[in-house]
Amino acid sequence: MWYFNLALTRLFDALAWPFQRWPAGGLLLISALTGVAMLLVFKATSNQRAIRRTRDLIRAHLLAMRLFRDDARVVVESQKKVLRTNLTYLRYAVVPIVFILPIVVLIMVQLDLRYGPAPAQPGEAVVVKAIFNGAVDDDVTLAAPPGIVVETPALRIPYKHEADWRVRPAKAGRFELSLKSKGATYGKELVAGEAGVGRVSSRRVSGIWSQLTNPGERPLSGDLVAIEVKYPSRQNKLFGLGVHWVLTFFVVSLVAAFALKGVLKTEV
Amino acid sequence: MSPRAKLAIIFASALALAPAAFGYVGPGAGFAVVTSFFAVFASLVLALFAFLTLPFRRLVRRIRRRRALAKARVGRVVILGLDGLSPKIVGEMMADGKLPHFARLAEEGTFKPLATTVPAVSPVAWSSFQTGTSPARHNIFDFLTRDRATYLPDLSSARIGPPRRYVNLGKFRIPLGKASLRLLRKSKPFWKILGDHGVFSNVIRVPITFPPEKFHGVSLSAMCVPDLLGTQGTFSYYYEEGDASVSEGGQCIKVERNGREVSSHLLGPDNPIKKAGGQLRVPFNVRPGKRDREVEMSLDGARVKLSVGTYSDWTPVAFRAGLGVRVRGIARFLVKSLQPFEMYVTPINVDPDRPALPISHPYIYAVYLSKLLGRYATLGLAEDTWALNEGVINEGQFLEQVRRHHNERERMFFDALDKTKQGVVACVFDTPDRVQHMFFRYLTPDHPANRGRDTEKYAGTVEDMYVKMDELVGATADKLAPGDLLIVMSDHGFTSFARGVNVNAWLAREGYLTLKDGAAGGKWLEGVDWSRTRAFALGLAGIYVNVAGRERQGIVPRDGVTALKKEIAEKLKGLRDDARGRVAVRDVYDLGEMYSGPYLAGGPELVVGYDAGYRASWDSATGGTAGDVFEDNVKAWSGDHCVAADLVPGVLFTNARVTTKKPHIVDIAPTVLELFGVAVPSYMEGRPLELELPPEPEEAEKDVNEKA
Repeated sequence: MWYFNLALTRLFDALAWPFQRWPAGGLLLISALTGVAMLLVFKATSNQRAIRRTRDLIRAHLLAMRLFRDDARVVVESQKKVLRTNLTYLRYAVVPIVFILPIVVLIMVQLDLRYGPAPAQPGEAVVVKAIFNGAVDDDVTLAAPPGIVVETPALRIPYKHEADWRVRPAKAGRFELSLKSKGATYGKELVAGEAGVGRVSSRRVSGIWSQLTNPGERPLSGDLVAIEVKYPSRQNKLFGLGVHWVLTFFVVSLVAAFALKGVLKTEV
Repeated sequence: MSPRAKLAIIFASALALAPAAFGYVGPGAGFAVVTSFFAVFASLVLALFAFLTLPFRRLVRRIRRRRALAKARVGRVVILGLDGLSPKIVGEMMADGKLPHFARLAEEGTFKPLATTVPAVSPVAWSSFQTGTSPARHNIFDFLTRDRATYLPDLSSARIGPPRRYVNLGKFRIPLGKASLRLLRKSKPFWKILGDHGVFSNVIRVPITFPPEKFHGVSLSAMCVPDLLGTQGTFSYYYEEGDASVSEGGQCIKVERNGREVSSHLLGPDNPIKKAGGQLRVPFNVRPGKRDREVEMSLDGARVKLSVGTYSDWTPVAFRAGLGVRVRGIARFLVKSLQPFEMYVTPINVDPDRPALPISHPYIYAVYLSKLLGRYATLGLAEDTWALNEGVINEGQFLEQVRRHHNERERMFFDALDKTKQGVVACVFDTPDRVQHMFFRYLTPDHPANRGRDTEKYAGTVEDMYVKMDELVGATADKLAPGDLLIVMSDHGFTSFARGVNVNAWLAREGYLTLKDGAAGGKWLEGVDWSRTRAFALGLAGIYVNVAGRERQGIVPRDGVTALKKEIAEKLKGLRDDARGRVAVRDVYDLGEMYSGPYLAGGPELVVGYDAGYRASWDSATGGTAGDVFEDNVKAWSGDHCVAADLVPGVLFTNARVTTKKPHIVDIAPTVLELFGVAVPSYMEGRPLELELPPEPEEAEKDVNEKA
């Protein structure tokens, strides 16, 4: 899984690379490409003929409401048929959605790595959280390289199998925190103060499915379930407006797909 | 389990394990949500709009003194038009017990011959049906009329012209506005008058309704809707070996072979926006498919799967004119043989999904039908009789076309019955006309068209068609509500067309028509010396006098027209076909004596009333002047109705008793008006039929109780 994640991460690094000075451009490009790619997946995995027929029927019933608007019976009947045919349409849309969903999840995970959390600002504290499989080791410690100050001893929350620290970066850079428990050492990247687009991995995890959604760092092994840095959320600026990246992705991917559905001869 | 299903399960499992944080489901669900949302939203808005505006619309109607349905004696009038249904054949088959639904109508209501127009041809008769007037008042005398300046034929019912203004942009010529369309049928159809009184009508494929007129209701145009080439139907025949040609109604195009693949192009209309753009084309390639008889066609980038010997579905075709302009049509493909390659393509119909010209009122009605029922034939004369006449398709393939078109029409009609519960539903089916035109030879053993042809395989086709119409009548009757009046009618009957009469050759023989010195005489009155010609024939029955001051090269003074008409009529009436020992011309009608109205001068002076078995020859109909007066008709088109009108009345069936002794087709329009309590306009020549309407169920029950 790690190598799969690594390959995917490198691919997205390459896509985002030209947009280091304008991160929003990368988001727009990837969103648009996703929209088009998903359109093609939708075309390949759906019953296009049935969807076309269903959409035609919906249009026909809508037109019937205009053509026979003096007849309340026809208007009500057509209204019912629109709703009924709509359900049929949704049924036809389920299969392609099943195919599209996992792909989109992987893409969104990569986008979240770049547009979700913001790096910790020098001088501002962040919380580091470690979650263990069992009870938290009494001697668990967190060590930091020069430039990072671990301000608190471990705060243990036994019922959650969790230990927390407050750390404060003094300067910008990519640092490696070092957590020691039961004789083993675990690393966790901490990103401080970097401007522009760049990967900011919040969690380093163990377990195959968790790795799928947290691809930024090598998987953990041993006693630890996850180490997490509570970064602040990133403020993405798009043409001067602060917009959450998920909203941008949603709108741009849909607009791109709808704009090109005629060219790609796809019924959606 | 299919690989696709396995893959779906794997993906679904992965999906189930995806964390809640990624609950957003991406563009796939986005497509579904957006599409569904808009559909529901639009339907709610439309419903709300319809309900909110209903009181206002009713108020407006009241203000305009339209008291819709208030004085109506019926809830709905359903008119089922069966073009060309013969009372003689129906009567015989009913007597044999083969038409139970017709028989039931006759028993419970009425079955009578319905007198038709002179001439007895569909455009004339259906125009009289809808306007309640004779040709002199609706201006339709035949399929064709003549141009008084050039003596060339013109379509009688519609004029299609280019847009009036253009803007020149380099090599492009951009039209400002739409093509000009003009309906030449005059007077008002009864559904327009009903609409003025608030009665809604649903009019489907009634001939001579193109271009569509505005009225309170919906209509789909029929006869005279052109194909994309602007003609009344031009098929294409693609071939590989030898030479091929057709005389009428089609074009032959040789394909190029490259190994297993053949390539050619569909020919479309002239480029509407490019100067010297020529005829638009869509290239195609055809190659054998993977399975036996399977054929793969690549049509402008799209893949179409065909099967040898089977018609394709209606296939969209887009001709690119430039600047993003596309002219859209639909066609069916029939690969007859792969080696050597032979393919028939129907005339390219206007695409009802995105009509290139208005073929319905309102414009969206054609679109609505296409979305609801799928694409359908829009060409006026949709069944390709020319292709069968020319031997490009065989009788079985022709019948398959007829069957498909009939089914399309039936679904439209039943939808109209479902949607319109009050007012008028009128629908005309062409099946009886087309089948009898092309299969009548089977009913007349000595027909010249039978020579050298099989006379067994399709011997029962005409009878089968009547049975099919009977089933349609039965299905229609089942959909009636109490208080509905059903009228099943035809515009004319049918008879054999075994011998053709070339009226121009006869006029030449008698000295009324003279060719220029040395001229052989061709089609469309070619080579006629107008300075020495007093009369000429054009179309299916008309004889025109070359009147001075009316025709550009007219020579007959106006005061001499009457005498000339009389002279020609006397000579022509009783014209004998010596080869058969029969009278060919039963009557000659002087339209000036028969009809009166403002458009009388637009028609022919005389109409020839042929005896059964005779009709204007193919050459005569197209203005041919050479050859013998009589000739055998050996074409597949072996039945006709363009004879003396009293020989080919139509049928009239109703579920009410009609006591009028001799109903006429012009009586239908005033009858419908009268049933809805609308005054019959004085210009209408027909009179309301005397009807004894079936009692409403409550009244019938009351009568029974009283009697008890």
